Amino acid sequence: MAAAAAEATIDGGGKMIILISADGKRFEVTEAVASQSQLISNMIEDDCTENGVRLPNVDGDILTMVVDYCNMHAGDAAADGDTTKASSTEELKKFDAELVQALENPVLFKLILAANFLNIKSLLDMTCQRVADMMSGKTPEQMRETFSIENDFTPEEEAAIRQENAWAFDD
Amino acid sequence: MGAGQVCRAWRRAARDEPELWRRIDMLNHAELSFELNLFGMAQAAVRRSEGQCEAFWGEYAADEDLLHFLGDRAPCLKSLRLMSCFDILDEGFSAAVKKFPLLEELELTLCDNLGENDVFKAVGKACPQLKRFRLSKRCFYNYKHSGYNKDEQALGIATMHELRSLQLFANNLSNEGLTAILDNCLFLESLDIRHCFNVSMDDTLRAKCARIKTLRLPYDSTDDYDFQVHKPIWSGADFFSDSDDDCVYGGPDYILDSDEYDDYCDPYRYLDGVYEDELDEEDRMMLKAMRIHPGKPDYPRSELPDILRVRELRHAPHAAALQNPIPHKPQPHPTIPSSSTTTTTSGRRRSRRGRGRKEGDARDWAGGLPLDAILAIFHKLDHIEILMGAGQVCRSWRRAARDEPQLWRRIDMRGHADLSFELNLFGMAQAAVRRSAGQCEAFWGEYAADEKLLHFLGERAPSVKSLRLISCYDILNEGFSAAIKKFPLLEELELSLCSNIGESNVFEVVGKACPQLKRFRFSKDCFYSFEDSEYEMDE
Repeated sequence: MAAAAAEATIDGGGKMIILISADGKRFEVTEAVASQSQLISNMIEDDCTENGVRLPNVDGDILTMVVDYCNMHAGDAAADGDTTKASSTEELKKFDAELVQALENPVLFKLILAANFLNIKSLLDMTCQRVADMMSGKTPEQMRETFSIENDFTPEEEAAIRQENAWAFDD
Repeated sequence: MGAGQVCRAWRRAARDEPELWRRIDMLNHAELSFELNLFGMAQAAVRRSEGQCEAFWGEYAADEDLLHFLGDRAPCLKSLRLMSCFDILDEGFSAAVKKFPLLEELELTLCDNLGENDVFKAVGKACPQLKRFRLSKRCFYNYKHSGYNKDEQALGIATMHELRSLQLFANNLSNEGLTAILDNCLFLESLDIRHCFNVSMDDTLRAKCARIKTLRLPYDSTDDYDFQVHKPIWSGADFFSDSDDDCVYGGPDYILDSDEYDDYCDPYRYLDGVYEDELDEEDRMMLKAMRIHPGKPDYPRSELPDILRVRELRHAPHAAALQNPIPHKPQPHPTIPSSSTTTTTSGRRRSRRGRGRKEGDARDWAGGLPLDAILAIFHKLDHIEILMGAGQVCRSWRRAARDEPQLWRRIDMRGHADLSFELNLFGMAQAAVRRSAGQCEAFWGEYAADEKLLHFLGERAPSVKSLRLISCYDILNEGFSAAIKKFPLLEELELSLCSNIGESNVFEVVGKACPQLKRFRFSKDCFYSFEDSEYEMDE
């Protein structure tokens, strides 16, 4: 991680921003990398990143992944300019695919939360697609099992749902 | 409308930041255009900018009066982007654009009533500083009738000498027009002429294009195009064979066509598209904008998520308000990393705590996602999956599936032919339409519609723009003719394998009922030879 951050300093130029995770880990990234997060981008605009950005919603482990992702993708945001830094599209795709394939609950959901909170559209898209793929073709019960979701319906509510969905079967 | 009343930070922003109105963005509210007076709202926004407005972006939100008003109140406008502003005509636009001498960016997307009568020459004259111009049409249509000058628009554009970036999507320009542009716009750095199929890139043109840094050619992939991509219409008989069968397609068009067709069929594109298409589009457009100005993000990269949130807030104020992270102000109290929920979900969690949820590693991560994250996932699913599966998993998912009309703006019930004998797809379609709360703009059904459903759809979703029916055998000519009258705004109609529709002048009725129809597909399941007479109705 530290290596990635240092590298960014060298060729990214620009200002560095410190991100602080919920458990106090610090990550130094360039503005270009950080501003892939709309949340942070807004903060940069408002000049409130001086003392580091605290992200009380995001653990260090997750933030590590997010920062890795943003470092990889800083290329396509900057575009044109130096192509040395911008990773090739194929590399990126491969990186994304590997990242998302490797994810298991609850890390996947933590990452979705982080992407949602930080407002990183591409990461959110990618992770949500993964979840959608996992949901596809499953019954509600199988989904609860897959994602360890608690069935929080009361028996009455379940009956109501069954009734509400009765049309589905009364062909 | 809402953002200013959402939470403290937003309220403060709306109240204390006069420069908020410097860029007026009214994109992505197409669905409101029937409920609200967007023109009036745009006017109010312009008024608040107190002459400081530098950018106006409107979707369905501008008419000619507004343009004049804008010109009077915001003479230093630099960016004007109009989408689907059908009320603006050539003459009115030519007159109004004179009030924007400082314009640097102009976009006219899906503004179907703009483009003739030398309107772009007027722009070229009125806006000497124009650097970015985008003119996107819905789909390529090969005008053939004599007297139509394919290059009129291109010659107009050639008068915009300062252009740096030009996107012409599905334009009719030919090689001559493109040559004129290249010869006159010497600073052009980015050129996108995808779907301009009258251009054939020869060596001369390639040489002229050599200096362009970012070049997208007519047959280039439209994967990253920000609007819905429609198949080109080649007019006349071509049009028919084209809509006939997607597999029988030869020549260089094949790849493009199948590519495009994939896009067209890929639900992901739409979910992340249409009303999300709009969202995504914005994001992509931002990326594009940043490509043009590397390292200088004039515009925030994506404010879509915010817009999305505003929308959610409209529909589910309490839920969304609880979950909405306050952008500029991370929560002051640090949460305990491993066992607590994020602050964004605390509202929902509190309501559940009474039921004795297990703490620890087995935490209910998926069920506890904030609404916008759940919706982001649901948008990747098709609607039958949401109805039959995802919506029945737990309370928060159910609420997301049931109470968010935006999720149902495009109802796609294709690809479930196998279920049609087990399930009541008609009933399911009806439930989906009901959930859209009148916002449904597209209904695509396979085995999933009968005449009753069409009537129901017409009554509940009068603003449907796209209707695609596949294998709907229960719809007959008379019933269809009657129902179609309820869809005056229809722009796209597909009837595939609906073998009981097609006679009794049904298409004449369609032509009359849907004056805005732009795309029509009528496919049968076996080879047929068909005489013309109904494709006249397709403009």
